Amino acid sequence: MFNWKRFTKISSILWILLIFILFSETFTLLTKPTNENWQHSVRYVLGDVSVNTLIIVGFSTFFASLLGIFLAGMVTLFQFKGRKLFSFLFYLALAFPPYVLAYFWTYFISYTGTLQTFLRSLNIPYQATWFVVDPKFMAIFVYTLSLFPYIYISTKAIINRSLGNYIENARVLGYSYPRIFLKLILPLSLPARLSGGLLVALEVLSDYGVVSYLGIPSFSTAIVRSWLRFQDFDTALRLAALLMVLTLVLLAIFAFIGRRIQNLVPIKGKPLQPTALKPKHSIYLVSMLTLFLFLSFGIPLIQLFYWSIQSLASIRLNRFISSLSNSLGLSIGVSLIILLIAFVLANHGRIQKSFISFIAGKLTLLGYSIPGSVIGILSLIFFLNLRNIIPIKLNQSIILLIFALIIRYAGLAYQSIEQGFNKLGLRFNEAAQVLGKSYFNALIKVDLVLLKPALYSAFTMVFLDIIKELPLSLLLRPFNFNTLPPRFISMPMMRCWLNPPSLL
Amino acid sequence: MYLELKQLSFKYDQTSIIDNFDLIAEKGSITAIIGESGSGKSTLLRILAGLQNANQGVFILDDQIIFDSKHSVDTHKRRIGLVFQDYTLFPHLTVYQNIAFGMRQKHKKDRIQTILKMVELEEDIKKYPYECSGGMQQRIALARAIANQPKLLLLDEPFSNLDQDLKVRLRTQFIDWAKQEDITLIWVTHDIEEAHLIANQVIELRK
Amino acid sequence: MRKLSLLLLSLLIFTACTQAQPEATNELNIYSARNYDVDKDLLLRFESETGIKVNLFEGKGDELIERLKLEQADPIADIFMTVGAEALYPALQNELLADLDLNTAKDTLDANTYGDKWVALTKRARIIVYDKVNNPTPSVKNLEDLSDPQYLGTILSRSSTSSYNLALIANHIQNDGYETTRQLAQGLVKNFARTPTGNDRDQAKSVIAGLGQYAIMNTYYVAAMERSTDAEEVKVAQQLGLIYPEETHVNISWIAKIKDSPNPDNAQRLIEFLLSESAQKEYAERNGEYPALNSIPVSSLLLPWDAFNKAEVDYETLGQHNIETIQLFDEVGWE
Repeated sequence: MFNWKRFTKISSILWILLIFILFSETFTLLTKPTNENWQHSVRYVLGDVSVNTLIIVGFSTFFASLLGIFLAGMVTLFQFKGRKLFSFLFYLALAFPPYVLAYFWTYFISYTGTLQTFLRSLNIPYQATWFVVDPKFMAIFVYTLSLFPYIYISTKAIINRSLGNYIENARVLGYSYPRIFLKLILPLSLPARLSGGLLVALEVLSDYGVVSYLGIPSFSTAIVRSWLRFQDFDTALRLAALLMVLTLVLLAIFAFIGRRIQNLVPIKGKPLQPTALKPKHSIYLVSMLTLFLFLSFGIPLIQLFYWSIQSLASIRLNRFISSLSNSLGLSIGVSLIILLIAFVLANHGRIQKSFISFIAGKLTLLGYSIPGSVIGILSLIFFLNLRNIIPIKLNQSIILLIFALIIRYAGLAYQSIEQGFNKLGLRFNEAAQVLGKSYFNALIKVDLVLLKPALYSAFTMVFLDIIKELPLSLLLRPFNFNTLPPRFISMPMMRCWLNPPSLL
Repeated sequence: MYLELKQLSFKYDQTSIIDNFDLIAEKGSITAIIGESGSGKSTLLRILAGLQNANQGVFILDDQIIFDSKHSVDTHKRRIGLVFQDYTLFPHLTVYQNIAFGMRQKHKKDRIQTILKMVELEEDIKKYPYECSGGMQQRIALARAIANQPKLLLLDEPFSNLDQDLKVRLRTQFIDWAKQEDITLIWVTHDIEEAHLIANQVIELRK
Repeated sequence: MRKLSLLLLSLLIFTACTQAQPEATNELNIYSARNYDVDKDLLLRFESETGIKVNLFEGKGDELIERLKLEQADPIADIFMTVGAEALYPALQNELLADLDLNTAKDTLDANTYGDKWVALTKRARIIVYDKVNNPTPSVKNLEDLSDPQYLGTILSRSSTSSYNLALIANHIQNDGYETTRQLAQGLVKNFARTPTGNDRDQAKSVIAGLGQYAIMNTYYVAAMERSTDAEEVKVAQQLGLIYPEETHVNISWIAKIKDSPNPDNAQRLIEFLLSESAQKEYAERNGEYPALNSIPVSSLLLPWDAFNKAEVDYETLGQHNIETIQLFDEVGWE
């Protein structure tokens, strides 16, 4: 049997080197003198861009937290009809790409949109200005709705696993639920919110679709603009470098807080038994949740369905099906590869908490915060340089796309699996070792089985993200290989094409 | 001597946990290790089992060098069992599968039947750990450990989670089984009376 | 290990399903930023009439240029078509385009709508629209008027990231110089009713909604909205009044052959097909554009081609001002 521990160590080192080389282009740039365009950017653009980005990231994370905790609380504390269904549906929110929601809601409240048209048809007087929404609000709204599941999932997990005893104790002592929420759940779920919140922040940072559509100057749009409009790699990469620095700061902050509250992590307790609600309260809660779901996803879904049916005739079915199967095949395949890589890396961190494992972890997360288009450029340069050494036609093939996707999304899987390993601990593996199984054997026969929830969750998140991703695909996809998301932006009559793809 | 431990030392972050510890034991004997919390008892067991590495020391078992300053045998090759304080039963495996986990020999089935009989768990083989009582879980953990006929069996405060009657009963039973199988035991406990009651030698670890 | 073989199996299936470039005989590879329905149908018609298999790769103009640059050593695309003239300069600078022989077709085109390596397919004017019902007698004649302080809070425009606005301002810089244009833009921005958001159609709708009085938009949107399946959009279009500025900026969508491409002859055939009367008619009727071929009539909502005064423009060098234009946008705060 090969030496697993050495394998993970070497893999981690190789991975670090890879990412380093990939991003080194950016950093060698910083040593060269700046050009005029950069100076212009700094003067006129950087301020707005930074402020906008910080506002949007900050508020989206904040509201997503609130929403996530609240829903997690409702679903774990109480037993009511349809609890399992709601629980599942909230997960599903992750399948909605934020830019689809952005398109939809903008249309919905627009002058010719459903809402205003409806009001006009009933002759209800209104002011058009009521429906004018600052694009930043719309962005925050949309990000909150589509990303809250990250926090919902981790908070729910921690309440179920660790807070059962505390909550039951509190009930016995006569605490009311709001008090339990504020004094118990809120503080003790901080670790969960931290890891979920980090994912939300990183996703918002790297998103391009929403801010580009809503016309909000932000880091990702500024980078793409410099690259494509200015044809200025230099400035684009400099901005990307700044973004990466911002990310590292963010990671550092989260890590710092994480370390401070390490001792607050509750030990594993009995799973929480949800309390049954009085019928009156039950109805109230169920209707509130239904209303929420309907307002945030039900309406878009119905409208998109309606448009689907309408435009069914004009869709070229064979093209559509091939796009669909391409998307699915690509997503599944790449997700599996990413899962494998993240598993190996997280394993190394588990066996040996060394400098290498620490760096590997952080670098992996870095990829997640960079806009797909930047990873696209970097991958392209990387392969072009590689081409000088190995004469293969790599820049035109699907390998490039897969490569970029892996760099971009490995962090997501890594985060989830690492957490899974942390929760699992080493005890079962050690128990297996003293019974005569090697570490690797124990890993496969014991840890892997017990890690399944984390693995499934990692796979799902990565899969959904890949299917939703936009800019990468646009630039790097191989010819004749139209995947789904790019078909959106291509169509000015976005309505027709929005529906079937996003109904995935 | 069946078991020899010489000059074992272990440091954690500049603090010396174990300092020049020696131990010898005969085959089939029971050695009890007592000491205050934090004196390094559990660490000692983990080092012997191979889950942690000592800074210094030589460990010889059944004429084989388990570790010295140059080499160290991997945990899974040592044939040294360890019963954890919280049993650490595999939650995804049944009683039967838990006990059978480490076994590789040909006559596995017979051996397991014998063990099951010994620990009185024949009726419960299809149950999962969470369906078993504390006492049952303890028996499963012990059965699992002896099933593979380890050269040395380490126990970290076994029975400490059980009430007095059950504790005494299981303890007596277990020592019988161990004697039947001629297994050498090193037994960590905080109960001084118990130590003197069951062991051939009692060693105290001081901070 | 089972997991490993499962993984390999899925990778294998996945690779098999997702085939790379097919090596067929009669093909045409197109990189297009023109993504309207009418284009798709025209390509379908071309396919059936000529038997040439069309492989379409869609994207935004600047991204496609970037891709073409990267593939230059070994081009895949035969044809590049896009909606804005600002992409022409980078394409020419980077020597991406092949020589184009237009034969007699040139005689029917305006002089500035073709070059040695490219030709326009359609034209679109960027005009000012207003609400005919609530503002029957507008006093505005061009953009310069609109920049006057009396129009504070009345102007609706889309973001400066739009390539149409880019071309518009670049045109002004080309004709009037940076400083004059900057002052114009500054005046406009000061009069914005709100921070730019949405696309051209949204601007029109916002005018009708009363959020502003004048909007800057392309002519073909007006015609397209009038033919929309959305009844509300039709109503908006019918209520719009059009002002063609005294020096109207006209942008083009253009097409070109890629240098050293695999199927140059098929590319030539496509261009000739798209410049034919029947194709040009489609552009005019279905998409509301001004066809390159002036003889084709346009939508009745728009002024006929020779009925308005066009600003001078050199399409080949328009893109030279791209960077200046964007810097100008940043300086005046046009988001």
